[in-house]
Amino acid sequence: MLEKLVPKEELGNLIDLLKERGYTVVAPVIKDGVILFEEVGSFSEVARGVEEEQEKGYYRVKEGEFWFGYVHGPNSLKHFLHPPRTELIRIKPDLSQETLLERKKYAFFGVRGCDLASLRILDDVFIKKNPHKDSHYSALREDVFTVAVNCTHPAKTCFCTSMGTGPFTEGKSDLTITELKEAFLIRAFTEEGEEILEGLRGEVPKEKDYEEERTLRERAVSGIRRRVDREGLPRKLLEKLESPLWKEIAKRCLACGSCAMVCPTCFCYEVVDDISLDGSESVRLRRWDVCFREEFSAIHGIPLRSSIASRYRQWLLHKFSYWVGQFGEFGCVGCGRCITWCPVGIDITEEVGRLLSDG
Amino acid sequence: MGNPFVLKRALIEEVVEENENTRRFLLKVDGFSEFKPGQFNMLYVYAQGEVPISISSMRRDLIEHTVRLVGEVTEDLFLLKEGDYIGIRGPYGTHFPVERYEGWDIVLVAGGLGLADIKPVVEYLIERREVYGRVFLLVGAKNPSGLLYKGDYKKWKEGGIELLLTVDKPAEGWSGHVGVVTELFKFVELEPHRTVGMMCGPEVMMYFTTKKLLKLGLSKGNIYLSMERHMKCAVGTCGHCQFGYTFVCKDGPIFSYERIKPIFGVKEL
Repeated sequence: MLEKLVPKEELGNLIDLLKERGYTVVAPVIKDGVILFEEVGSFSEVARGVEEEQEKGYYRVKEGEFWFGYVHGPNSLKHFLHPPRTELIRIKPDLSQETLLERKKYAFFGVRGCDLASLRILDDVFIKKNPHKDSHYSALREDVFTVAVNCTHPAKTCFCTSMGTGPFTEGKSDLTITELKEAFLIRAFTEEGEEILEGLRGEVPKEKDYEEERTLRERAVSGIRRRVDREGLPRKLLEKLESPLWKEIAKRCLACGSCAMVCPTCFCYEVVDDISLDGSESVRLRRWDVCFREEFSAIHGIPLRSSIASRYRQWLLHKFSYWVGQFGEFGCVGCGRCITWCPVGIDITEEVGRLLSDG
Repeated sequence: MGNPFVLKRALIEEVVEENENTRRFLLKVDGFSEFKPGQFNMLYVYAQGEVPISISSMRRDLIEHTVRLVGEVTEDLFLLKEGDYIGIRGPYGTHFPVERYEGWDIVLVAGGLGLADIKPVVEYLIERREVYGRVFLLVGAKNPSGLLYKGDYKKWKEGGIELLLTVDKPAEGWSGHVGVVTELFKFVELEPHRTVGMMCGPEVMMYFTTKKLLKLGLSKGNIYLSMERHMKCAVGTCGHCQFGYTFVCKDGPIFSYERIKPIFGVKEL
C-alpha cells in the first residue's frame, strides 16, 4: 500500500490523470441546490467548500470550511451502472435480434463508504450471486475505478456505523482520501491506484498527520447518532410480518417510491417494449420500477400487495431481512438517503426500532 | 458475457383448444436445452412483450405450453396461428425433484390451470412407472370445462396413475365428485413416511392442501409447491417475482414447504 500527504491544490491533477487514462470521471457537483454525481470535465466543477444539513424530509447545502465536508445528495452510483433506462435488445418482426452493449470506463471520484458498499451489493445482484450474469451491468462495471473520500462530517441522517460501511472506508477502493486541515492523506489499495498516486506531488505522512486523521475519524464516528440494531434482525423482522405497526406507517407513507429511487441498492425494474412508429423494430428496455407501485406485484393484472402497509413492509423487510436470505448480507448501507428524501419524513431506523420494541 | 435476454425463434406447429380461454401451443425450437418437470420458459410476442409460462409436457420433439387468456401478451398470443413465430428463452427455475423419490408413493394435487405444471410430472412418472410406488393424481377445477387434458386421462390411468377428479360447480352430464380438491383425500390411502406431495394451483388451494398433507403425517420437507409471481426478467434481477427471501424465478418456482414455511400463507406478501 502506497500512502502520501498531498497538498490541497495538487488534487485537481488527479482528475486530469484519470482522464488521461481514458476514464469518464464522475464526481459530486452542486446542481439545483443539491450535491449530485455527474460527469465532470475538470476539477473546477467538483463540489468544494460546502456542508450539508440533512434531516427527515430536509436537505440544504451551506458553506463550509472543509473541501469535502458534505456526504451525498439524492443520486448514487447506481444511476451510472444500472441507469434508469437501459436498452436490453433490439428485435425485428422476424425475431432477428441485436444487442448494443454500452461500454463505459467510469472513474467515480468522491465515493463515500456507504456508496462503495452499494457497489459490492449490486455486484452480487447482477453478477456474483446470480447464475444468469447480467451483460449490461457488467459492461458498465468492469473497468470502474474508485476514488473514495472518508467522511469527516457525516449527516444527521447517516447510520453507516450500524451497517458497517463507514464513515471511513479503508481498502475497498482504488484510492482513498482523508481530508486533513492543510492537506490530503491519500492511500492507494490497487496497482493502478498506486500508479496514479505516483503522479501526484506529495510527501511521506508524519505521525501528527495520522493523529489528526484519528481525531477526525473519532469525531465522525461519534457524530453518527442514528442506529439500527443488526443483531438477529432478519429473523426478528420475519416474526413481525403481521404486526399492527405496518398499518400505522401506511397512514403516513404516500407510496411515492422516493425512498427506492434514492436508495443506492434498490435495483428493481420493469421490462417494456418500445416499438418504432412503423412497427419495423421493437426495443426491449428496462426501466426502474419500485415496489411501492400497486401494479408492481400484479399477477394477471390483479395486485398482490394492494395495501400500502404491505408495500412498505416489502420494502423494509427486503432491506433488513429478505436481502440476507437472497444474497447473504443486508440490502441497506446506512446512507440515510431514504430518510432525507422521504416527503413525509419517515425514518427507517425509527421504524425498525419501533417494530423491534413493541411491534 | 452473453446477453441473458436473447430469444430463440419458436415455430407454432400446432394450437390445441383446451377450453374457451385456454390453449396449448406446441412449439418447434431448434436446439432447445434439456428441461425438467415444473420449469418454465419466457414466451415473447413481437412488440408486445414476454410472459412466463410453465412447460406442460415432457415431450422433446415439440415444446408444449398451456396458456390461459389473462392479459395483453396472451391476448396477442391467441391471435397467432400455426405457422407463426414467437420468441422463447429458457428453461428457467427449479423443478419437482421426482428423481429423489424413487421407491416412494407420490400424491400430485392440481387446481385449475395448475395441472399444466403437474402434467410433465405425470408423464415423467409413467415413463419410469416401475421405480415408483402408488401414484395419486387429485385434480380440481371450477367446473367440468375447466378440467384440462381430458383426452389424456385414459392414457394416464392405463399408465398406473390413480386419477381422482372434482369440480366446484357441476354441469349437466357431470356424475363425478363435487367439492374442493382436498375432499378427495378421503379416497386416498397414504403411508406418510414414504409419501411425497407435489402440487400446483391457486395459493389458497395449495395452502389447504399443504395443511391436509401435514395433518396426514407428511413431513415439511416432502411437500412441494409451485409458486406463482409475475416474473418479468426470469433472471433474478427485475425484482417483481420476489416472494419474501426468495426470487420465484431462480429459487423457485418449485419450493419445498420447509423452505417457505415462515412466509407461505401470509396475506399480501
